Amino acid sequence: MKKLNEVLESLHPLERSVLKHLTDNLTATELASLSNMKEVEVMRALQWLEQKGVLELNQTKTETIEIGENGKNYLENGFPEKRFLNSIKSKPQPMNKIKDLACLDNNEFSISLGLLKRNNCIKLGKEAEITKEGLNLLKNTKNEDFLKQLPQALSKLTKEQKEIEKELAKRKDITKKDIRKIFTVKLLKFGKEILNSKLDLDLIDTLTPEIIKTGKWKNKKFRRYTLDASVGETYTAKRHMVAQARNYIRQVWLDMGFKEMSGPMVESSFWNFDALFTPQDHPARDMQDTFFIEGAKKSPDKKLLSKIKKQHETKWNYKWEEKPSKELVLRTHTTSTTARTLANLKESDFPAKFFSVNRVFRNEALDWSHLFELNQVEGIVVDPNATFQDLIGYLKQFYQKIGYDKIRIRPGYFPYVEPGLEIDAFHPKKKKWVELGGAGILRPEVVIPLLGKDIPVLAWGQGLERGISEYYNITDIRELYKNDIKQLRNSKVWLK
Amino acid sequence: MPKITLNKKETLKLVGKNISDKQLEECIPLLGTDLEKVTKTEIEVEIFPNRPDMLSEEGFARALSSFMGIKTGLKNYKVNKSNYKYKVDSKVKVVRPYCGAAIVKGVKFTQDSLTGFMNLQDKLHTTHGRNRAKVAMGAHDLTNVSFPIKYTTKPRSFKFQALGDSTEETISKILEEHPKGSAYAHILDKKEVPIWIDTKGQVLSLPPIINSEQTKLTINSKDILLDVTGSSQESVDQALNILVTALADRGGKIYSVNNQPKLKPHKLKVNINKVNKLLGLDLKKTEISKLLAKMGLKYSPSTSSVEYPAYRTDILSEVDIVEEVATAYGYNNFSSSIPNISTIAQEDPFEKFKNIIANICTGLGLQEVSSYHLSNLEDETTKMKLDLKPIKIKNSISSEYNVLRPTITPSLLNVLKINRHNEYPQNIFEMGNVFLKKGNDIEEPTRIGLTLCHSKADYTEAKKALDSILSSLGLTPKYESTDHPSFIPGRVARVSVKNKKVAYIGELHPEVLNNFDIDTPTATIELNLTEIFGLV
Repeated sequence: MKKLNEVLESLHPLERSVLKHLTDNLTATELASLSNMKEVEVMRALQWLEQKGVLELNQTKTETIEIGENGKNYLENGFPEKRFLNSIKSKPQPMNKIKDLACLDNNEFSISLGLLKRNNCIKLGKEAEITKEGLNLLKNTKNEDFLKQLPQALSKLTKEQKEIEKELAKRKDITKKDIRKIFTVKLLKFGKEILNSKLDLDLIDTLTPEIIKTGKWKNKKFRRYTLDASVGETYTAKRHMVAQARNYIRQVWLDMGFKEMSGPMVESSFWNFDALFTPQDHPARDMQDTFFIEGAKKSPDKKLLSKIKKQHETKWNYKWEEKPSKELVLRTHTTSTTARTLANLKESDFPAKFFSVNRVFRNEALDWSHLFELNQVEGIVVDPNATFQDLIGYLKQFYQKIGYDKIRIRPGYFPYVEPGLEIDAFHPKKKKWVELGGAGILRPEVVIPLLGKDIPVLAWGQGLERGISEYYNITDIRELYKNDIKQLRNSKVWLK
Repeated sequence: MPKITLNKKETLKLVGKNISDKQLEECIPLLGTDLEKVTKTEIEVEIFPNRPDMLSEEGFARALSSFMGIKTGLKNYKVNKSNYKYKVDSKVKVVRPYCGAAIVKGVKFTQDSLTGFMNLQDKLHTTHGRNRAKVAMGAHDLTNVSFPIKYTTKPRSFKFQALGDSTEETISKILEEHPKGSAYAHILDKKEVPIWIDTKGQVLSLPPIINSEQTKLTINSKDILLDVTGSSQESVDQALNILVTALADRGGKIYSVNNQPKLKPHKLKVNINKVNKLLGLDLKKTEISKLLAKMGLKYSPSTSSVEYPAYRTDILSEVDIVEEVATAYGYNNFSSSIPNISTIAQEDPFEKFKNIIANICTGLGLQEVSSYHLSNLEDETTKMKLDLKPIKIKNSISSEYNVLRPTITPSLLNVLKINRHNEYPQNIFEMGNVFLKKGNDIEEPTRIGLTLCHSKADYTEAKKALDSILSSLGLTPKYESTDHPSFIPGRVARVSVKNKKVAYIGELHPEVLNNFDIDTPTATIELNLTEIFGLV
């Protein structure tokens, strides 16, 4: 049980207003009319008081009489029969004029005419004339009074009210029946103590600059808050989850001393394929997995072109043509950027390490496990003394940094590396080996034209999105780029 | 990568030793094949595309047997001289120039091994043969063929009975109606088509489409004629070599036709020091010799050369021998090292800048979103009331994504569209590339789009945001009234910084909002970050 004083000091102005009128067994609706407060305010105050142990709120369902659409309208503009009578009150009028004078539509006119005739309220000749009964009807406001008291519990209607309701129910949509939740107060023992206490404490409710400046706070107490009350939601604006993960992996490369590369998404086939020793009749270059783009881009210099041509022709044994190398594509891998980077290196730049984490494109249909745009993570080490064992060493270090202590390698095939390898890692949560990425040493056919001589270039890479899906427990990879704002707002931040 | 299912019993018989499933599971990945699964009766593997010689039970078993030390070393296949001949008509030069043929006698097929041989041809057609465009092959029962045979061309009105057909048909009809005809007819684009025909006028095949019914292989066929055609002599020879060696492993004897097949091993000079240096090992010549024998290769220390079988298509350079050594050594046996070299890390300055901008934006309370760079014409032009010509994708499989986006705002409006049921305000931003034709080149500047979407979103709020971003960068913007069909007239400005036009800002036109099914006021900014980066 909370201390009496603490609770008294924590009462909100709304609660105080309600308490002033509170007795056992009152309903929220009754309290609203007694205290002249809105019902929602009363409900809020009652719920707070319930949390403080002052009272219990019992909810029951009751059949009620509510005001209908026509009822609202008639309350505002007058019942049609009264509008009819008012139009002939001062002098009789011809029937065809009454409709306009009383602003009645056809339906209202015929209903009121019938009703007035039945009750002898009018006398009909050439013109309609009001009778004594008519004048009495005009004075009678029991219908209006009843409507003003709605909503009411059906069970609480007086005999007279029931009569009125029965009559009105015969007409369209003046009243309607409904089921309402009724909240009834049951005052608890602690509540009685509260009611017996002095409720009008002189507390500071909202602290204002004026109170601070003038010192009015001195010798006064502040209203205590309910500290664990639930408050509305607010959102932290965040980076997109892919951006967060991308920055994380970029930082891993930077920690390892790598320099970041960048290059265009729209590439010529030259950089995407030819420079990487992909023969011109390779399946990847027909219209299947690759997005081909209309238009043209600047060609690389003739010298490089002829060096690449020579590699293709001597090693693949076919006639290399310049034209297919000009076809534009959306890069299918960031290795095109790697090729551009190598082409710009001088011997004095070695040893050098580069990385990129950027978008690549595959001409595939979107489904739960396939995206046509995704991020590729890629790094290279250009080092005249680098070895296959060094590659394994770098891989171990890299994967350890991103949370995989145990990796194993096995032979793999990528057209532009030799030897090539596949990397599996032991997944610490799934407790099994999972495929992570690929690696290798760039082929001399790739390196010689770009660097001018055969220098080992270690390379490895993998996709980014799968790891993000795993981190966020997303099974449908499309959700990463769905941009559901609620999901983005509620997602935890990348904590790796 | 081609996936193949091998009959386990047949394969192990060819390997020459019974091997436990556990051993298979360990060994196969280390040999350089992706193992899918080993079941009671089958082995399912994915063969790397550079090893078409392993696409059959015979080829796969040959490599595995050698790798496991059962039958090691360079395998010699004897080609028996014969009087079988073929002639080549010079007319084939324009339709399908290269060809080859060979004979294998005394093959004993079982139903399984016959199916296996058919599967090998299928897989070779799709991979090595580039869907038959580069190489196509046919196998025939020799007893129904009269020598010499001829590789020539015929008009499309010429008739023969294609495999699976009950009557003779014209070639035109076969190309239209036979399932293989309609699938591969596009490869033949000349009036005349290539034909293998024997001396009695019996058609053997219509490459690269279909063989004839009369010479088809059956389970009873013992002596087999192979024909191969294509657009590269080297690839034709390789395919022929893969086929004859597979049949020879089944006990067949190889006979030449003209001077084919050419099964003499190829030779490559290899510098042992280079091999050791690249692998980080210190292997002696004898060790190298042993390791390469495991891969079916032969190292000769005296000449510093390696001989490799003529069916291997993947050996182009010394470095390919390095990989063979590494594979034989066992990838799992390598130790690891980190070289002690010093390099300086460096973040791409533009990436750094983008992160700074994004941090300012989240500071302003804007949630970052991320969309695709691919879009469609309707979103980029009609819906935005813009007359742009976005760069088209020639072969997209989806009409929803068939252009490269020329602006970033529609991406953001599509995000707002799918979030109508979520709580407002929805103030969001996205950074990404847009794609523009510039003379004879394509430029892809990075832009940032910011949209403010809630019942009271307006120009003033957007301007406050842009002012704040630019002043954080020490830049002063100039706002000028402009016309832009996507915005409400009088509520859109062109923004410049240091006399460079860098942004549009304004309240989107209700018609544009309607087009994206948005019914909440939206103010938007599209700012060229590449340009701004150059000005900071």
